[in-house]
Amino acid sequence: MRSWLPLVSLVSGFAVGFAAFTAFKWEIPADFAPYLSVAALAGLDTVFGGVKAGIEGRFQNDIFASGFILNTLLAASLAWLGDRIGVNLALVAVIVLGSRVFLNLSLIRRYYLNKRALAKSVQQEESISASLPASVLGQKPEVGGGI
Amino acid sequence: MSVFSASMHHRSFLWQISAVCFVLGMVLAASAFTATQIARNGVRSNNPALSYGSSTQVAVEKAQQSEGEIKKLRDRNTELENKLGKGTDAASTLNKELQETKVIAGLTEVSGSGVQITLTDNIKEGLAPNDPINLGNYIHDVDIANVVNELKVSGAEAIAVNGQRISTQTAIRCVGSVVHINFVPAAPPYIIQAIGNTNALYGGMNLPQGVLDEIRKVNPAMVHMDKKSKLVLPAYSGSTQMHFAKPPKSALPEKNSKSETEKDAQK
Repeated sequence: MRSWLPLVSLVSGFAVGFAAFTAFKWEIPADFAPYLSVAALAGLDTVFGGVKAGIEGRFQNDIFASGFILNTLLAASLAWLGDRIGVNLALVAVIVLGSRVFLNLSLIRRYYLNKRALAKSVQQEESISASLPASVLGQKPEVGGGI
Repeated sequence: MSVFSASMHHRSFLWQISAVCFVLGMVLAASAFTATQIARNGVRSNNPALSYGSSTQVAVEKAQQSEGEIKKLRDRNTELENKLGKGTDAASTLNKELQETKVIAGLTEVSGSGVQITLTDNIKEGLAPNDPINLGNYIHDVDIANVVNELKVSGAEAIAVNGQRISTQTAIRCVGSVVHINFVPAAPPYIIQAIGNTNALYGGMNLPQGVLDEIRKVNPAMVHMDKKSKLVLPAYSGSTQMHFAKPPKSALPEKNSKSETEKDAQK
């Protein structure tokens, strides 16, 4: 199942990262922790956006790669700027990115549910066509047209 | 179906998303790791003096090295004094008295029989640092100071806490989460060794309503006392320089004090 690949690499990346931080005793100053969180959220948003684009067949690797890097940096620097000027821009980034993640996730979910419904109806149709006389098969309805 | 149909056949984007997911996983790990660190240690300020490997750390290490040197020099001093004392009768008497005084002051290693008291925090109970109800579960600086005081009352001739000799200059005080003894941090279990009459010390410390009794009321396991036939207590290794306290002039022999000041002036 290659569609599990992103999830597997996400988990393994998390494991490798956590192990490295524990093993090498790396430390990120507590002051930067909120920016890192916002950056991670921006990365998450980009990944979901990429999956959605891929499903829609509009995936472009240059847009995806540059989006990942720039969105991450932009979100972190926006949060940092917000702290400097006394406006909680980190919260703004969290809300906007969070809502986008949810939106993308709902589209991805819809795609998989549609796929399943399609597969089901195709199966049903096959079983129906097996039982029906050959003359009925001429008028084949549009598969999944109402979805 | 038409919108999604293309994706069914072109799955090369999955590899790229997977690669980015790996990076994202590491970023998330960094974030999660930092968050757990903060939850565990609290927000640490960026002040370099407070972080690991800082100038404080270096200074503490240097201080410990210096303490070792002080100990060596004091031993050498004793050795030289002994050699000097062998010359004449008067000198040897003086040296004998000097050595006795040093023992009283805690400047030499001493050995003898006595008791060893081990104080530990109440580990079985939850050790929530900010919960005032649980404060009894800790061994505090005052507990150690009270035990040391009680040991002196019971006739202890030499006392050491976690390898730090109690001298005339010793302070026992709480600094953050540790207790400083002779300005050296000590952590539980606190091992208090005292040389003296073993039975007198043992009985004195076990008096009802005594210091140890109070601690035992929280949990008897917090106190452990042993009679020891041989204890070796280290010498006091802190500073003994006096800047303000001076004996009255009448107590000093006229000649000696003069020659002392002359020597100082020559230096």
